[in-house]
Amino acid sequence: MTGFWKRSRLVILLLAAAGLAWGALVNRAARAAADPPRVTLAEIAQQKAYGVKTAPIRIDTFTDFECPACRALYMETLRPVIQNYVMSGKVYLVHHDFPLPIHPYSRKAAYYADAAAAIGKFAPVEQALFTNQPQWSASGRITPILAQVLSPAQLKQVEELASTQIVQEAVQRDVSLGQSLGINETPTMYVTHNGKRMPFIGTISYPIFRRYLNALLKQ
Amino acid sequence: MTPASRSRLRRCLLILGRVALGLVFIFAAYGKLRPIGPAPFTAASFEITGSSLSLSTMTFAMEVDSYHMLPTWGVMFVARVLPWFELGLGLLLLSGIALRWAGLITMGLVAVFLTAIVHSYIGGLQINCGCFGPGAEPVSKLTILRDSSFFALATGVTIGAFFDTRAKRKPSSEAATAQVEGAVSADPGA
Repeated sequence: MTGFWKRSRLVILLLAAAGLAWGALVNRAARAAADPPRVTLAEIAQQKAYGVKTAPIRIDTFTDFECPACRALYMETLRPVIQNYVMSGKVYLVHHDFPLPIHPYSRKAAYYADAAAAIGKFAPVEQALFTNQPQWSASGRITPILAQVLSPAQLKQVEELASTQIVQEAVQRDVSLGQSLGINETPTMYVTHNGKRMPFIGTISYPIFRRYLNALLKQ
Repeated sequence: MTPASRSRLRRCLLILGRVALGLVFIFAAYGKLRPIGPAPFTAASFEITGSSLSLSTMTFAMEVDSYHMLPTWGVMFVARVLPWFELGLGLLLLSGIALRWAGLITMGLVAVFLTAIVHSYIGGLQINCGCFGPGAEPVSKLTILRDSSFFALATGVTIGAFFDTRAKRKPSSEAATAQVEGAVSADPGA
């Protein structure tokens, strides 16, 4: 009888220990999912760039997610540039946020985009924001647009991150950089090659931009 | 003011006007043709090579394209031809050769530039002017005002050139008439 109780107590203790361990594991996983990942400004900035840093041409774009000309530049010019020049290592394309005060939802969109950058999802979010710009810029409802390209868990993370100081600081850092360069219009592009930097304001068609990039690469 | 001094003043103003306009056009052409990178008016900025020219042409083409007024072939044509055309026009204005025609063409060209700038400004296009080559010079009220003053100057030069030519012809035609009259009076058969 004593032996039976001893064995039973041992089993109960083992079960309790296993239960506690399981509970701790589940709790940790749940906390990890709920806590936004810790990122630095440099990591966010890196996630907003396409291609390799060693590419011969660097393009810095200052855009506003709510500006129609920025949408046109992204859809008609930058996407083919990503496909034909960034993928082949010829261009390093860097996105900078420059939300203009005249657009009521552009800063909010920039926060979401930078939050997406923090979890490594900048490219799909940027594409979704520009592609669906007419919809969300009318209502200000950005999350349904993001839900098209993010999983529910990712969307939750992005929503949480968008209100964090680090993400808001990342956007403000881009704005300050643009202001220090004297930018007051979007889209503005800086094309750097061999240490020479050329500013371009407005949208440029891909056939012309392609020729320009080829002329630069021939230098 | 006597008619002679008035005429002298008019000629001085015409020379000043055409030289100023000529320099503006030569500077505009230089801005579009000079190599990208070196600071303006340095020795390196005058070293125009085939490859530097192809890059500056394409850089200017980017500025022309941002106006959204021309198809790709039109943009390329303007980017390749306009700087040289401006240079030629500038030299004509500076030298005073064929001034009436140079003035008329300048007026037309500046009118086209002004229309393009006003069109993009009214349309809310936020673009570089590209008037004096590549660089961050957004289209603004100031660029419109500047091109309007160039148009006024070109109009003044053209009108002045036409007046000047007429004034030069007038004495010679009067002399010819006097010569004919003299010949008629000397002819005993008349």
